[in-house]
Amino acid sequence: MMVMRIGEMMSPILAAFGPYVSRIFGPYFGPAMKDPQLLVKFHEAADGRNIPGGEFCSAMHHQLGQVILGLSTLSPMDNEQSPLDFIFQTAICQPQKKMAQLAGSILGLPTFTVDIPYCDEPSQTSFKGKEYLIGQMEEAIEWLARTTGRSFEDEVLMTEVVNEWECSVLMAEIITTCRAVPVPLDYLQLRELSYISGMLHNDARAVEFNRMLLDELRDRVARGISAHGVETARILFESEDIFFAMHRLMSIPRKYGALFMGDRGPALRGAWAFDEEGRMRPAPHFHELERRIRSRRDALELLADLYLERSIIPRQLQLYLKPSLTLHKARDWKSDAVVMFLDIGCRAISLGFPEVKMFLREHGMPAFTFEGSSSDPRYYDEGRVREQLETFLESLGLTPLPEA
Amino acid sequence: MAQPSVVCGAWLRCGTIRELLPDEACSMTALDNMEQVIADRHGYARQWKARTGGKVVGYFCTYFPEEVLYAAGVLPVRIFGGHEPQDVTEPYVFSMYCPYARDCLAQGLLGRYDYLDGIAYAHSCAHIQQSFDSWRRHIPVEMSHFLFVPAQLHSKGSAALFRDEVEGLRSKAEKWLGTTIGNGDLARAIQAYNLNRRLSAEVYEQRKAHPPLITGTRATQVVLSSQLMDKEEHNRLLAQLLQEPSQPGSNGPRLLVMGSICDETEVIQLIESLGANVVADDHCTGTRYFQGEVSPDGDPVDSLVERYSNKPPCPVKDFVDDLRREHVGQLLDEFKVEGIVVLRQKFCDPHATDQAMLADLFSQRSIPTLSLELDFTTPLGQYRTRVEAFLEMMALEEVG
Repeated sequence: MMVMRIGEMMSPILAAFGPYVSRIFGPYFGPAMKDPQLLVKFHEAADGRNIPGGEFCSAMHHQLGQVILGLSTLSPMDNEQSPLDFIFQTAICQPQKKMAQLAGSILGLPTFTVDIPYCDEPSQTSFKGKEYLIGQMEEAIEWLARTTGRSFEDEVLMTEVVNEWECSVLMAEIITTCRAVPVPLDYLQLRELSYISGMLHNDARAVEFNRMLLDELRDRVARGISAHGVETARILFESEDIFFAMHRLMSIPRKYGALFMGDRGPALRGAWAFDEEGRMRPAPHFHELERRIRSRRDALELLADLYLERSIIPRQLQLYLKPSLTLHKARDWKSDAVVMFLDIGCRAISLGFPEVKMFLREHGMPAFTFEGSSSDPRYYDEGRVREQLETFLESLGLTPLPEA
Repeated sequence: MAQPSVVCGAWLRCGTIRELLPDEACSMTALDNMEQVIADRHGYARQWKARTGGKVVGYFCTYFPEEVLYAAGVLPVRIFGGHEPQDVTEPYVFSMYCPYARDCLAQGLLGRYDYLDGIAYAHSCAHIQQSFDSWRRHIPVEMSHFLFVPAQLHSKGSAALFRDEVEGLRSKAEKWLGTTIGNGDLARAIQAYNLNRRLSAEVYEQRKAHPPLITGTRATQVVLSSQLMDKEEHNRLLAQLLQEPSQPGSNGPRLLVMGSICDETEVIQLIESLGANVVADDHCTGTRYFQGEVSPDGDPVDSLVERYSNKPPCPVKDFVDDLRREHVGQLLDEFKVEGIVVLRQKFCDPHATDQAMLADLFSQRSIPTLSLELDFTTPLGQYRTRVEAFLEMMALEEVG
């Protein structure tokens, strides 16, 4: 079965219905993110539907362009048609949910949405989001059974949920290892190595990959191997990826011997334990939980715990916590400064950044925000961003390294 | 010096319409009273506090169950913008958040809402959440509350979660006020709110006539003022309004306005000044505020959850069931709509998508649509040109 997905969650549920091909954000999402011209073409197609670029989630906006141009069923590899069977999405932010709904209506495809709940009420002690999420998972299973005509294998669900837990805990351990001085992986390297966890988190092969990666990183840290050899300043990159300009953006601090590091994207794929002050450490491994998974209900409960209790995703939107969480993260990463991207194309990730910036500065942590769009080149002024960032880095006392 | 009351008379307790009529003669019409409350909303709230000694809580979003606070003697007032140029929100909110959300925060930061004792938010969109968060951080209030409202309102577990959230609000209010909010208190609040919904619906029914017996501007004032006033006082104005001679609209084309939150009447007034009738709306500050009553039977919290889960949905609460199409289609039929003006806040993703999803419904019915983008201030000159062109186009199509 061929499924278009928005968001990476709930893979064990899909897997329990047998083999499937998952097109997260559509087949042209990746190619377009590397090709500004193609991106603009997609955005313009969406603009034509009276959904203005620059006012909408830009990742969803260009995905919508793919759908409108009829490319959501065309493989970018060989131009072969591969029709979609349905759309399945798990999302916490409204633009993603609405985009999937609109794509479903344009393509005439059945669409199912799972809503991830969160609460930003500090005094709330009885938030019943878990039962709500489990209820939606049960409905998703019923819906998928009707839509695909396939049967649901509980054994597969139980195995893959445990895989996802382990994969996520290992990802958190990888990230924690990367906090070392010198940093063994910069932001871009860590982000790229985290994609396996994003795409295959419920697969035993991803668990194995993360184990190998963790071992190698620990070895690198023990031997003091750094990402770039020179580390004059450690800048926490707490922002959405600017996909089409990422390598050039990452190179800006290198001119000064500094580097961008951090886990903004990769941490979404980790399983975490949060202390009362909001500090993050890896969640316990499955065998440490003393939980047995003997039924569908057990598996869904574990999955709900992973997404609600152990994930950083709801915490991205919990503004009450976000400033202190970011300060702890900056300190845990032994950061000299924090850079945040006010993304015109993503309200969810940018949420609270101005407040975070003020809070960080009040606590002696230099912080800087810059503006643009993460996936619409029409709203990203690369020259301006470079100048602003260089000015900020120089304000930290950094000077360009002599050219080799 | 205390300001004079904008609401006439000493009001009786709620009951039938006859009982609701003011017990003193009043020189102002009900609509004039409502208009004045909108114009001097802060004066009204301050005066209400002085009169009653009660507390006032500002809230964001039409999914907030006001009845819980009203049951404790609190006046819930919906936070509206001021539509004036401002430069105070920039440090707190990125400029690509919707103008309504930033305008509301600006009003708070400028001290316009300095009489509020609390601030509350029912979870709807990121834009308003951002303003709520900055409000609770930077504008002193005794109490702030975030209430999660599921986006999948008809899913397994959604009612239990919503119920828990409403109970959470009840407990917090009880602790804050040092009182108990009993089921009887809730039932009385529900009764006052239900009456308000019923009377508002009755006013809106007058818009079905041709020409409508009340203009769109006046009807909008009725609902906006309801969100700012003590419901029992507003109920009396509604009862008075239903007894007063009607102020019919024109014989012009019948329009529906819809889209994001619309907390002012200037645009509607402009449209009607150009000869059209705004006969219906699909705004959370309009019909979606009052449609659907709370059942007076059973547990009041369950009944509140049922009402707020089943009222005509906002696009951010309409998943899987896809109820918006049916709801808007019904409005088009019932109010014999000939044209649509979409009023969308700049940067409002949910309504941009909603508009795209409903586009084929409008084209199937051959209903012309004009889309206007709302910002801090209302560019009336530009809107006038566009609305004039739209109405001319409608007239030409009719001739053709």
